[in-house]
Amino acid sequence: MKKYIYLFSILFCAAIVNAQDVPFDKKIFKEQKDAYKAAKEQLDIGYDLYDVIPETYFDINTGEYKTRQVYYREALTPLFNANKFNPNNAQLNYRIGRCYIMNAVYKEEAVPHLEKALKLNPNVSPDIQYHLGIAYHITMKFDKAIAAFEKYKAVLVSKNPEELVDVNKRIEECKFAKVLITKPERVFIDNFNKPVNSKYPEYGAIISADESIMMFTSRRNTSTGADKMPEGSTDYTEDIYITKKVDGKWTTPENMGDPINTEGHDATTAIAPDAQSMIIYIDDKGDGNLYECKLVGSTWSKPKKMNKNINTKAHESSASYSNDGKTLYFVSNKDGGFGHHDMYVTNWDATLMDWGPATNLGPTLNTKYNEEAVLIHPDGKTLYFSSQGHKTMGGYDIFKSTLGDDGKWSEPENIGYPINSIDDDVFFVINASGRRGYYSSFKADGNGEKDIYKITFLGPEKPLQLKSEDNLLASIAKPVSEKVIEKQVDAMSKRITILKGVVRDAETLKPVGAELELIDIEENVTLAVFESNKSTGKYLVSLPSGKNYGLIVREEGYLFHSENFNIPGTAAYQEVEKNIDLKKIKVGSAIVLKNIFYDYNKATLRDASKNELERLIKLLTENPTIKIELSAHTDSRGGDKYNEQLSQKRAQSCVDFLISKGISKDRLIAKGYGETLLIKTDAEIAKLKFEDEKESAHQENRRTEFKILEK
Amino acid sequence: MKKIQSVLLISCVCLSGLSFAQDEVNVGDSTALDGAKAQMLYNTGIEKFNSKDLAGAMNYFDSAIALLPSFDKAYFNRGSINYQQKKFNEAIIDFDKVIEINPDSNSSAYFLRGRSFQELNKTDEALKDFDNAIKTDNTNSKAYYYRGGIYFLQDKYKEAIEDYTNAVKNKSDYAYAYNDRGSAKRLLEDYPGAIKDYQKAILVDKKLPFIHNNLGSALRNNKEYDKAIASYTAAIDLKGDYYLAYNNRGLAKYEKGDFDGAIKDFSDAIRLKTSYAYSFSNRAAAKYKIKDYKGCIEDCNKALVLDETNAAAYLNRGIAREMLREEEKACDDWSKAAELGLKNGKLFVQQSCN
Repeated sequence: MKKYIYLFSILFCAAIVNAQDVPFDKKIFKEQKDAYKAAKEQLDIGYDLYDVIPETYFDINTGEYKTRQVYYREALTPLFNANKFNPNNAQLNYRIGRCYIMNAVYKEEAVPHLEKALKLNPNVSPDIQYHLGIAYHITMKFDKAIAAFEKYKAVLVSKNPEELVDVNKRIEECKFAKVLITKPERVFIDNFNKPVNSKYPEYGAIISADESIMMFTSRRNTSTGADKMPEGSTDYTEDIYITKKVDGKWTTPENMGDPINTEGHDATTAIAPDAQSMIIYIDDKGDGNLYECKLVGSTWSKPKKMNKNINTKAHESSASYSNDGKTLYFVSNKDGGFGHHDMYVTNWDATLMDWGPATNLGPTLNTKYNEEAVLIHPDGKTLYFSSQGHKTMGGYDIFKSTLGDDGKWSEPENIGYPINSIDDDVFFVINASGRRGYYSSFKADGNGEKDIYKITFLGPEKPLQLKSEDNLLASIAKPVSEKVIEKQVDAMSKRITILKGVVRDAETLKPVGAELELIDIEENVTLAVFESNKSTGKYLVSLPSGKNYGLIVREEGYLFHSENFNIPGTAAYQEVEKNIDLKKIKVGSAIVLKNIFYDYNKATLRDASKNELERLIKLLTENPTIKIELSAHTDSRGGDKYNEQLSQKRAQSCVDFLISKGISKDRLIAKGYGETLLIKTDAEIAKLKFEDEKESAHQENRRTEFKILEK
Repeated sequence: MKKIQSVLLISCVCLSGLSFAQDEVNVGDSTALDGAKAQMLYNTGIEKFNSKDLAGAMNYFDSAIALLPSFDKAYFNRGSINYQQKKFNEAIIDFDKVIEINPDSNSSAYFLRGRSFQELNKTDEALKDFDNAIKTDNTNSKAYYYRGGIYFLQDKYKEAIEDYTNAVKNKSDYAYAYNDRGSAKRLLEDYPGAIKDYQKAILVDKKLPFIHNNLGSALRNNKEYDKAIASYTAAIDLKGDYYLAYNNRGLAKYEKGDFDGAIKDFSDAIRLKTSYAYSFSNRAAAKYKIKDYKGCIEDCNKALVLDETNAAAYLNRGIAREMLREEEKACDDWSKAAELGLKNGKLFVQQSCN
């Protein structure tokens, strides 16, 4: 019995010793002199690094470069070695825990060390509960985090009000995170992997509206000036890289080179929906400004510093073009805002041909904390941005707000977990359909540093279809199927049409750099004027649903070309590829006037048609010798005779309008072809699957054309 | 004057009974000699019928009609036998004669001719006859019931309910009418009303499995899943091979969130009827819910082998394929579902295939 009591006493003492803070005292380790000596050396190295080594970093709150301790990087290894020898030192465990919190990866390892430090010595540091709270927060142990922060608050009360605000914010973040993770967003998040991501940091992806081009920032060994850096240095400057989607695959990224990239930091900020211009961030020795570059043919222009309505002595960090290029959203921490970095908006001044005065987006969107990485969606009314101030899970979260018909922004909405995380979530972009987004993050499956990730938004769960039958009628043995009413599905995709294509010469099919004017037919206003690329002829325009659009394409020496896109408000996302072949002004050339509209079953011209005819008048005035035939065509529905008469009357209406505007009647012939020259035959239409496709084909047949008869 | 009293008892396979020619036939004076003979033949025909000699009965009714061509009751009874023997065209000719002889007073002839037309899928004619049957006898519960059935199949549920209500007003133990009125209410989404009617039908006759099944479906529509499951179980207890009830109980379990239980019921339905495509596509949906996406696809494939127009199977397979990152195939499936008429198919293509 005595033997057992003795053994129990030993175990009990050992347990007490294990629960005690064991100092690095050579007297305690006199039996292990050499090992102690080596461990103590590691401890001293670790503590020195923990305390003193500075690092230059960019403080996003102030927009300034500062120095800070990088104990988390270099100190961790020697401290860890010392801990192997003496795992029961409270201070050492505390410091290791803090190192892990600051580390890019393995943050979850902070928890056991901080817990142990607290257990070994509850007074190891006055802020132990604070850091333990952070460690729990990072590892998504929200209840424990809240408890730790509350304990820290008890210590803090009335001593440091600012810190109290910080701790309360962290508690709120934990509470909100608990709510968000119960309803995760349905998304796939995929690492881009090679060729886009590398072992170096990649971030700040920006995409064209059709996702055919992506640019991003990287700090690679191929950065401009990397060859001039001291040997062994790995801290390369930021450069911008470009990759293109070819046959569904991204090409190997290329450094955009001169004049975009310099030996300083050059970072992506914004790209126009048609990828014909972009805005980049240049640090300007810490000032931080926005520069604009234009794609001229196949060459990017030298970055031009944007005007003083945008760039100030303060820090301007990100920007985004609206779909029509007439509005620019950007971020600045200039004086007069609601917090540190705020979001601003400026409009294009067509008279001055420059950006006008900037306006703060107001307190609904901007907070006393930081807002960053602003993005206006091609739909023109959904704003995405990162904020530390609205309801976040921790750090920066990504939010969205919608511009109402009353011109007011809606209350920002957190776009949810797992897109948002406990860490900073910034540099988010989303494609025109709203189906895919891109952002950068450190993740365990990454390539070592920050990587670009693709988010696929699946939207609300798709309702499955179930079928049932019952013997509903007693007198009929055959079961009757339940009438299936399909469950409503929220329309996830953005209501927008991406119209893109190439402007070409109709005969040679060579690309033409032409002017494209987008018109609101009903309101008779020009929405945007832009150009197709001179080298490739490519153009792209995003058309939010709910308008009747006219697109007029002009280039000297060619007949103007008109297109009409009447996009109802309910139309879902679609991409329309439309190559535009411009015809030379010569005898025989004919074009369809797609923006001529008549009253239903009548020959009366609607007001919306008159702009198109005005363009024709301009053409006839500028080319006074040409004679034209103006013809009208119907679809195949209705009687032949009736259609012929209706089309003749319609052609005559156009001719009458032109004559009333001073065009000589000798230059004009009105011709009604009825249904004799269909573009889509009845047989072709019959093969179409859906009613809307059939209606669209009939509409194509109903048209007004003009043809040059003499020049 | 000779008075005969006779009753023709004809049981009906489809319902509880036909109308009977049980009127008195009066025979008198010398001009009625043939008539008297006809009546004797007629009575013998009834005796034959009562001894289940239908062919013999037919012969005597034929002979009676030959002697007395205006003998409406003989036509009626012959028509009734033809009807019972599913000789609907012959039955219609006999009832035509009855109505021709006595157009205003024979509700049963109108009714049985209407039923004959109904069996021949001549709905307009049937409807007209049921109207006349009711006009000549506004207590004819069967005429109301069958006219209600026509309205039901024409999706005129309110008119159907009115007829079923008149049917039960004139025959308070009319279980079928309660059942069918419940079904009409259910299709009008009046689930509490449907539940009450099915329950009344069960009070009248608790041994009809299909009424328990229908009650289960109304309860399921009303989101009373536990009660629905109990009703389906009662239906299955009465009819062990009732695959529809298994399928429907699976749906109730699915909607309740018991996906494993649902899979078991759908499997049982398939075991009972291996060609039942609905249960395959339903089981596929339940497998999706437990994240067995491959299993979901396999079941959809089986459903499509059985019925290549099963739009639900295409839709569900697309949803599973999306989760397996087979985006192109998913889009193909949704397009196919859209072609087969599912609006969600088109919507999913717009949402997820760009």
